[in-house]
Amino acid sequence: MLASLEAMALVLVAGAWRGSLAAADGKSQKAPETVEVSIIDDVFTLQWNGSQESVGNVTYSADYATSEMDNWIKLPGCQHITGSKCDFFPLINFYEEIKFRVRAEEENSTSSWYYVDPFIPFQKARLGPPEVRLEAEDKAVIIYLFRPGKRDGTSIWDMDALSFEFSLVFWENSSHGEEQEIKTNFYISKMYDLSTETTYCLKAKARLSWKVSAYSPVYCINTTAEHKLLPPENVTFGARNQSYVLTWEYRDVNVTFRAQWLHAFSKLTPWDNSNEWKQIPNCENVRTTYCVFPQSVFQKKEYYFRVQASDGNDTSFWSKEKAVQTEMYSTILPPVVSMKSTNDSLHVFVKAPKKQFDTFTYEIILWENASHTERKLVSKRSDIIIPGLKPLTPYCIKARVLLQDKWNKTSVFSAVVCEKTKPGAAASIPWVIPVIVILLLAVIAFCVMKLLWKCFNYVFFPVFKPPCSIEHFSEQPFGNLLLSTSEEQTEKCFIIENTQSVIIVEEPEETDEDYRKYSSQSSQDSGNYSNEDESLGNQISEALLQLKPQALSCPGELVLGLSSLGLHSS
Amino acid sequence: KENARLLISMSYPFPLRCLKDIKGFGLPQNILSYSWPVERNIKEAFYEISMQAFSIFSRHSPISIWKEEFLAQIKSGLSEQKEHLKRCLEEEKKQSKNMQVIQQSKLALRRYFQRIENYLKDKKYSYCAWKIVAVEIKRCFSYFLKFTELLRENQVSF
Repeated sequence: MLASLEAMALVLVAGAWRGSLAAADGKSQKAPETVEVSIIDDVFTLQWNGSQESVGNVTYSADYATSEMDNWIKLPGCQHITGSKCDFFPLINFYEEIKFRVRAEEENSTSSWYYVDPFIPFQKARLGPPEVRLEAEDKAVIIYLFRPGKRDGTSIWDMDALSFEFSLVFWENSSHGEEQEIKTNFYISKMYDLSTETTYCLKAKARLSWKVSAYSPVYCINTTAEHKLLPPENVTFGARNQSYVLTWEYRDVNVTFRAQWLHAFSKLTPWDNSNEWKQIPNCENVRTTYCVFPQSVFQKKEYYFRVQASDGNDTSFWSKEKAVQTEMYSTILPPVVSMKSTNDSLHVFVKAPKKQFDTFTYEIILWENASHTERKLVSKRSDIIIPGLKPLTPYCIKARVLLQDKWNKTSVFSAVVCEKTKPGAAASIPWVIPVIVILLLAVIAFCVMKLLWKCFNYVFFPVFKPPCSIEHFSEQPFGNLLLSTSEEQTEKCFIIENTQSVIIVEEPEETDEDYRKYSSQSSQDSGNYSNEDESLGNQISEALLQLKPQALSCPGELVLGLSSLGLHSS
Repeated sequence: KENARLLISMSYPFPLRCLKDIKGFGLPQNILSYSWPVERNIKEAFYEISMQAFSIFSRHSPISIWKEEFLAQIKSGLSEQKEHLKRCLEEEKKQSKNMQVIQQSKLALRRYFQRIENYLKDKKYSYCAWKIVAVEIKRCFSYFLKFTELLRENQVSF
């Protein structure tokens, strides 16, 4: 729609232009053409092609509107401009769409508006080079960088203050080709290990995502003559017991030291952080080349440390800064362990001494006091039940805290705690009772059955049974029968042959079952038996062959056959 | 999450007398539905939020309202998170080169934080204004944490 409007405006204006300029009908001016907005840092520039032939006192004015506004607003700095461009700086939200319109004016007559396509200023804005300030020490140069754009809190880059990246090119002026390239997102950096009284130069460019600035002009500085008092060297950080230890090296003995710290995040901000350095407690005017301070002074975050020497009259420059993640060094206190035995399990309680970390687990090592085989358990819970232990056995445990951080740190192990498990009897009571009950019931059921059986037999098969031999027979399990081949059994066989009908009735199920046992055994004859059993196996097969016709008739005959097998085996 | 916890403790107790100053900042709730890959979009969003929240707290250092130590803790947390996410994103950027467009989500979040910033300025960084801003930033974090959790549960390419 805008495009068509513009086209219309152009046609109108063209017509008007060809007609009469003097006509004061409000549309007699030629509208500006090809209006463009460019943004470099906080300088917005509106540029247009005015009328080719400059006639009289033609001026240009622009309006703007953002998506948050309903009306057009006169653009400050771009009213009644005689040239073909104007600079301005709108106090707007740079992430909202903005649109412009421009027109030509002369006395009472105005042209139609030329509308600029709406855009988001932040997306359009280009990056200018950063500013640099250098400061020299005897063997170091401090580089202060300033992001492009205004610094009064209204800049288009204000919200990017923390996303700037700088590329620095640093070189010694006299030497050629030895350029150092440094990438940093700190606004203050320091070049160390330089020569005294030498000229060093630097240029820098800024980068914001893919927006890259041009290089700044070259800045140069001379390092000073060597300072009498040297700064401490090789600053290191460590932990001892529950304290941190900062150590450094220094040759001279007649000096005192002081050490300072800085939050690492202070380096990210664009402001001078030199007054944000803080004194480490117990580390002022010390004569030792180390300082010990409690871990509680620092959170588990990143810090910078620096040390300075002083001999009363003079102080050295600061040492190189040491970046430290205190979390890496902090001592993790071991958990406190206690346990309670309950028959075959142990109830273990572990507790980290205080809330040291958010995410951690306990590692628990359990072993039988007498042996050395250890069981390892890892748990997030602080009370753990370890089941399945031997009763009346002393068990020992120790535990430590495992952190799930970058360094997979652990605490030392807690003190060992031992405890004897309770006797197993107590534990067995619950399941022994039902077993006893079942057994009792089984016995009762058996007796009742037997009684009923007796009655049954009494009614249907009165006295003529010779019970003693049958009892003998039934006492003899068939497995044994097959293997043992005593003379006595041979005799029994004959007796059974005579009384087969009785046997059938007496123990029909048992014989049937044993037949199955037998046949399964016989089926193994085809080759599964061992050498020892070979002869026996053959005998069984033979016996089976003889038995088969009889077996078809009735189970009683089968029993007979089996008995006769005993005879054959002998 | 640690940061969210800190922000929660930062916004309590909320003084009743500040209720009248409450303002809607228009948290951009649908920014993650833009056509970018969800996972990357969330990382970008968290990076932006951490950075802007850190920026707000360190630019003005409202030490009259919260203890310096507490502020340091929250600033550390936010800056560490920001740096961590920055490394993540840079690693990913190396793999895909077509990052030449500013994401809509980033712009939406910028607009949102600009509104917060303007609000603070308008209210002359008053006690109530800070309290409200703290609640708002906490709300913003909780919203995106919740969103991420929901995404994880639904396993939308996360």
